Amino acid sequence: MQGVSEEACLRSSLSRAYYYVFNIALIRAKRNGFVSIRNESTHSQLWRLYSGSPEPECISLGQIALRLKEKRERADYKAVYLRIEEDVPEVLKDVQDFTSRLTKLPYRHPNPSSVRQ
Amino acid sequence: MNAHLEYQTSGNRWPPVVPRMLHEESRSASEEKLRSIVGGPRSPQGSTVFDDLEKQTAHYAAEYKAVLQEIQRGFIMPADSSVTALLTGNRAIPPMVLEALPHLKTYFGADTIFSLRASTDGAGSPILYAVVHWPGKVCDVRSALQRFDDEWWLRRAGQVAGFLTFTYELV
Repeated sequence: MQGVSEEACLRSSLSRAYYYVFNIALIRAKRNGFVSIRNESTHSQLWRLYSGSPEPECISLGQIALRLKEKRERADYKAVYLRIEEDVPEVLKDVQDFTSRLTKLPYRHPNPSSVRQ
Repeated sequence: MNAHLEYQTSGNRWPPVVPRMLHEESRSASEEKLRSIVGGPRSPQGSTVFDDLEKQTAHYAAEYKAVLQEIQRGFIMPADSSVTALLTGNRAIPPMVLEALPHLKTYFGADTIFSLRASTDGAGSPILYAVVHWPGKVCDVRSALQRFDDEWWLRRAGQVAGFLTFTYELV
């Protein structure tokens, strides 16, 4: 029983880690004029903004985030998540890396008007 | 009377030469350019390169089918149509996935299993995940992913902005 609740905690931590990254990235994007269109997931639009930026650092941030999103989806929706206890510390490192990179990124990035549609 | 006078000329009145219209020039140039890309015989004057549009469409469809089959040989696909629909809906993705395959084998090993998965949440355009199934140590797959990113992927990621990423799954 303890094992089950531990796995639930690990799954929850993966989910929270992703949403933390999503929220800080969204705040930055909105400050720069990002407005999400209706009928489409804000998550997809946000990561397209980062990944489609001409700024290489934004592309890296977009890729880190998409990978976290994939882990979050597995943690929340898949019945089996093998070796989750090994994944969680790495995900937390990714979150720290993301935060540090975003902090160092010049405030004008990501710029919604510079992204290829 | 005026009409009658108009014909009373000395006989050396030649009609003015009408130069080619601007749109004819540009159409001809763009037709040549298109022909150099897609090939095909020179069309007779007055017709366009799109005369054999049906043939071209069939050619592209066959080409796309071949790309899909090649992808299915290299990646495990889900039983449902989620990935196929995604690949069909965004034609920039299949060539990129296919191009990535030999690089994935180089960085992660020729015997490694790769799969494709579509994102499971949210409305609108889904994201395609190309997943490396990794039975080894987590530090090894992460360092391989880092090298794959630095040496190949990050320079190309902008071409499929946010619609595709490469990741790993520990097995």
